[in-house]
Amino acid sequence: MKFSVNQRLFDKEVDAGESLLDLLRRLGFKGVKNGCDNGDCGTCAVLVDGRAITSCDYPAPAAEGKRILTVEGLAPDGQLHPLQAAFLDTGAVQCGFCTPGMLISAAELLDRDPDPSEDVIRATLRGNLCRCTGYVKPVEAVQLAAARMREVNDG
Amino acid sequence: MADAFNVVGRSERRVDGKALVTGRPVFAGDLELPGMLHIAVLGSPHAHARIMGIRTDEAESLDGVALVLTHANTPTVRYTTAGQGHPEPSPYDTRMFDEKVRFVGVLA
Amino acid sequence: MITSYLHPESVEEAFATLQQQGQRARLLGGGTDLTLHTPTEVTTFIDLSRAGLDGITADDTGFHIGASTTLTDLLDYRPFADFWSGVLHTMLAQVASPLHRNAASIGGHLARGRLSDVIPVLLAIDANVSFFDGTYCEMPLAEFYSTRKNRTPVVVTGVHLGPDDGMAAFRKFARTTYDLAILNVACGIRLESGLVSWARIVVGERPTLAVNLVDASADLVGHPLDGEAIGQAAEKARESVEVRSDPRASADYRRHLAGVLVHRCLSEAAGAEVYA
Repeated sequence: MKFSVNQRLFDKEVDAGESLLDLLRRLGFKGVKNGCDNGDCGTCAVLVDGRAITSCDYPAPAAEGKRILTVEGLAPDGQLHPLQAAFLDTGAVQCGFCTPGMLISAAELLDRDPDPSEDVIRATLRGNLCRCTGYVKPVEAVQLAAARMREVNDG
Repeated sequence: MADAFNVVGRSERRVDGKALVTGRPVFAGDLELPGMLHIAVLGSPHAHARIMGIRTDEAESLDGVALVLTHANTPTVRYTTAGQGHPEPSPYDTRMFDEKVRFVGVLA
Repeated sequence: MITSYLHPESVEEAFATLQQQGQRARLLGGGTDLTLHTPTEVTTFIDLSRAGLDGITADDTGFHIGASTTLTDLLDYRPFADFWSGVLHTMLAQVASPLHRNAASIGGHLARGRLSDVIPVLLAIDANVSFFDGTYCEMPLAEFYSTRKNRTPVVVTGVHLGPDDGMAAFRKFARTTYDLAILNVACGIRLESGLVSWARIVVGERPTLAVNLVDASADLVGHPLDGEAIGQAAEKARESVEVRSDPRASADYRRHLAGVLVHRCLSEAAGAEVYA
């Protein structure tokens, strides 16, 4: 089936029963993590046609014709998306395993709402479980990224 | 006062941060080495039990199975699951494979 | 093991395949449940996303929500912000997270029929479900569940909400904000000349499928929705609700929760400021 990942077109044989997570990882997109394989932890989150979903409970065949974005596609090679920079600047990354999923959830949020409140950010990140850092710094990171992005857009 | 220092009093991006936020394959599960074997785990279905015997012949005869590891063919090296740092004061009481299983899902 | 993944382009085509394959096939909405809990006999997934079931339309018969509508689509649909006290939005904001809501479809949700915050609310606000079982049918959601015991193949095609709303409230009790409910309650009330003309008191996650508490609801009709009526309804709910124990909570605790949450829901529906 045909689909795109990070703006690259793919035409691959896909197993009827495989998950989008398994497909993406076997194509080499290791930034999409397998934390629970049960739809609960959010580490496998990717954007499908702009919507953040957990890829472990998304059937690979359902991705036919869809545009997928993984954490590796948030910024061109060598560069950092404002969210990625902000997560580093606020110390929101410890072991980093939940980070790709959080970045994906946050990326969708800022696309829909360039100035989200703290409550909205917290509600958005609810599906991304983090054991190391918790949520104070990730929330700060999303606010920082949003502010920087608004500055760039207004300026 | 902070201006007198280059490092103290300043925030630093962690040295492995960029790799983590860009999803580089830096975790053990991300590694792909040529000819590497893949592990399939048989977890104990029992919460508290003693293994009286394990028959590995059927698994070993399957196509693609390189080896089957159990308590019978692995060293009885004990380690600690605590891991605060060497020399570790916590008891070295855990074996990777044990004849006694202590929770559902533990390596059998 | 899934060996076949189909994308039928119509409800009739999906239904025909379902009939042909029997227990070997399952209909897929967002797939969030079935991909994780695939029964061993299932070999075929029938994905309904191209069968023309998307979209929410509004006309003078009310709102029709296509079965492929995601929970996020429902949350984004502005007219629901003040329909039935905005209860759909209040409830959806408490369901899992955007990651789940972006994929989960209302049709798949209703077809599963359990572990749901959505079903109690739809029951409380007089929703009908439309489905195809050879012909297109529509019936009240409660009737759909009570007559589905025979389990013949069916394709849920959508939800219909009539234009006349009322006051409604929803409460969910869970260990964490991200968890499934230990118990949930939804109430829907219509008033005429200050007296209750229609009432639903729905308790779900009992742990079984949500039901309307018929006696407690009926007792409200014909009276003002005042403190006394609410107190009696909550007590009746507490006494009459059928609950069971499971690993998540005891029957006693569920019974206690039912009384408290019904009280809070009815108080909120009556316009009182309710703590939590």
